Amino acid sequence: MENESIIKVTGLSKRYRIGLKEELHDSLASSITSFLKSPFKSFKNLRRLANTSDESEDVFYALKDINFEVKKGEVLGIVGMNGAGKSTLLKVLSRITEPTFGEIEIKGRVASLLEVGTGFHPDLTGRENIFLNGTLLGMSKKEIISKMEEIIEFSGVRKFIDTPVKRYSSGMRVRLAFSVAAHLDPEILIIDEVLAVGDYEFQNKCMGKMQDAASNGKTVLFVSHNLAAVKQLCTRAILLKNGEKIAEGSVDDIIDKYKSVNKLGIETVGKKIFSPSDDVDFELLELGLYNSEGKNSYNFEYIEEIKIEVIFKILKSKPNYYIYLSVVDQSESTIFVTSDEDLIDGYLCGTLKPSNHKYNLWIPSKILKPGRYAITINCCNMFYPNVKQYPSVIHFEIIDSKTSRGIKSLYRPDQIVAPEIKWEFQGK
Amino acid sequence: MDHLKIKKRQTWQLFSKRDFVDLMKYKDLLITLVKRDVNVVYKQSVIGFGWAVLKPLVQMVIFTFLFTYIATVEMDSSTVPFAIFNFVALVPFTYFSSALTASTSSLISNESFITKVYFPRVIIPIVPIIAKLVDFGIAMLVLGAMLFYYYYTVPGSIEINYNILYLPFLIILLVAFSLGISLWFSALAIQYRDLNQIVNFLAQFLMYAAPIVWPFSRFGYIADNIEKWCGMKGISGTIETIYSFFPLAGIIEGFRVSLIGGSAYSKMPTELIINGSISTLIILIFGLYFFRSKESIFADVA
Ligand SMILES: Nc1ncnc2c1ncn2[C@@H]1O[C@H](COP(=O)(O)OP(=O)(O)OP(=O)(O)O)[C@@H](O)[C@H]1O
Ligand SMILES: [Mg+2]
Repeated sequence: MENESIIKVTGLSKRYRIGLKEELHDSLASSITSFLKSPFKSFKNLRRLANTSDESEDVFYALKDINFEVKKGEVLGIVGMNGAGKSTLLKVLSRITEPTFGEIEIKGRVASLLEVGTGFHPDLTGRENIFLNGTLLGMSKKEIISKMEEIIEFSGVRKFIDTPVKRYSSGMRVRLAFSVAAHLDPEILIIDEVLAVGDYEFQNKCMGKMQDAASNGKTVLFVSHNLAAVKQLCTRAILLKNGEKIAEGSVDDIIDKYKSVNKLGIETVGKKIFSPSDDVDFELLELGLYNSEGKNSYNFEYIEEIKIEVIFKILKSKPNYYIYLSVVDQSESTIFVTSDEDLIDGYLCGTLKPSNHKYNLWIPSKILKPGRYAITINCCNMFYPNVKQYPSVIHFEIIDSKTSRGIKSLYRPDQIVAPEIKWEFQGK
Repeated sequence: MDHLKIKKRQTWQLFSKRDFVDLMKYKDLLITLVKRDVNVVYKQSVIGFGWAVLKPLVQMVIFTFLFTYIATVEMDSSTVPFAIFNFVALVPFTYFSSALTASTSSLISNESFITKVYFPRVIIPIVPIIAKLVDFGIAMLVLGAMLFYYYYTVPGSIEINYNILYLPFLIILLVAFSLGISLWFSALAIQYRDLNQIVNFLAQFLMYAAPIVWPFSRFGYIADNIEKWCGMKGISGTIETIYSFFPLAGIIEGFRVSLIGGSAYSKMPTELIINGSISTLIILIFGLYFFRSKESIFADVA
């Protein structure tokens, strides 16, 4: 039947205990001593671990009352910010961890690929590892033997198939692992962020295989921060925020909602207001990020210019004041630095009278690749460097749901910026 | 078609039909993991299978030297050499201690599987229990060779009779006991990371608690001494009863009776073996329940 729902999730909640984890003794010795010290408290802890009541403050809901259905042949995208509960949802769906409340009904064989390359043993050969990995995913020995040739062929590592996996490059390992999982031939495929690893060719192969699965009537659940890939693959999407499903619908709607949800986040308002102190001569009052529509925002399209407004205060005029601003990425490396010396030669700030002032500056579009960035600002004096420093005061995110660069693998993990380069073809 | 309902398992509902279906589905995983364990050990080491016998053999040589030249142990019979008396006991004990240590750390060393893939978790601690049987088998072959040697060189030392028929049951008991204890320890070890050290210590302790370097016939004497030492009258009988429920006692004495035989080991210690089987069964069943009840938090605490 076409319209039958193949996955049905009702009232699903997953609770983790976080506070307790610190108290939860990692060594038996310390657990025994603490029991001797305060038997009552230890007993309560033990009970809390086993209990399902949640009056204590250290429980944390990674998923809260999630309901949705997936029909046969659908490709469902699951989007949300870091920590929204996407991986947790997939883990519960693939039975790695147990739900706390609620129920899931699944009709069909599930293959989940939560992390490529799990279940490899470095001392065994590629072939032996295909067996290990395949049986780990629930294949029978017979099934693996019958698909062995296909798996080796797809992986493209035939030359090394009888070499221990420890001699493989990490990319080769990933290829082999994906190849095994891709040949599991499930009715339902659950995938978490696999596009984040592997080289250009591998990513294309992954996408191709998933598209194949989808067009062959398989049901796919797909988690990714690569919105372009979500857009290309999925027929429907749901949006998670802090463990709750806040929207469900067409992929375009959900991606739009996702972007607006981010704006409401506390840490992610795209604007920061500082309380000035009286003893500093030169400091920031406000910092805001604005999108092409002039709206305060936290995330921006790759093809969008970012306007930055810097409002600052000068208490005492000194000749050598200047401001410089750096954009740093998640690994804390500086992408670029800019300063108001770009405006005029010399120090403009130094000529200003004591008051509040404002700079507008624009980060050009099509430079930063999708990802999270932070802005660091320094108010400086030529002779007394760093009058005031504001490290990583504001964060923003670049996403790309408008171009197909993501699918073409033009945002590789090892690349720093993604400028659009002018190409010209000359010939016949 | 597969139809699956996922929800929180109730505490009273530890096993369902689905669990057994799953276990059957993943039997190839068990086989592959056992092969991996065996392969990895023997591929890496230079003397390969030699390792399996080296440990009990070296221990036996040391004990024989110690207890025949330095401190003498009163033996059951003057015809049975200490070396064979000791080695017959060390072979099953070495299996027990190495299976237990490997199994205890098994969940931790396979953490990456547990947090990333679904499969019946109980497979993981079972793997070393089966894999170590290879070592055990090799050690048994060496033991067989030794028995032959003494049979021909020391007449009257070895007199194997129909009691050898008990051997398969004793081995099953040994495996069941190892598995039972391992289920407890592996489930605890994922939360309490110092359990590995404790297990090493425990294995050391059990080596002297079990009748390995001393004959079981001396236990009455030992119990009397404990009674004197504690100063409690009439306690020695109780100690003997309690000790009879220690499965390794029955297993090791049983090994001696079935493999050495002769006048010193003519009677199967059936009471020891029955009591040991009872406690093994209890440890195993409750171990399974304990493991199952802890299973749902493995992926969360790992
Ligand atoms: N075993 C655990 N114990 C306690 N808390 C956990 C555990 N696993 C996950 N969490 C918490 O649950 C929340 C959701 O995590 P999850 O991995 O599902 O996020 P996500 O949506 O996949 O994020 P990302 O986009 O970064 O992959 C996080 O706050 C995380 O800290
Ligand atoms: Mg995740």
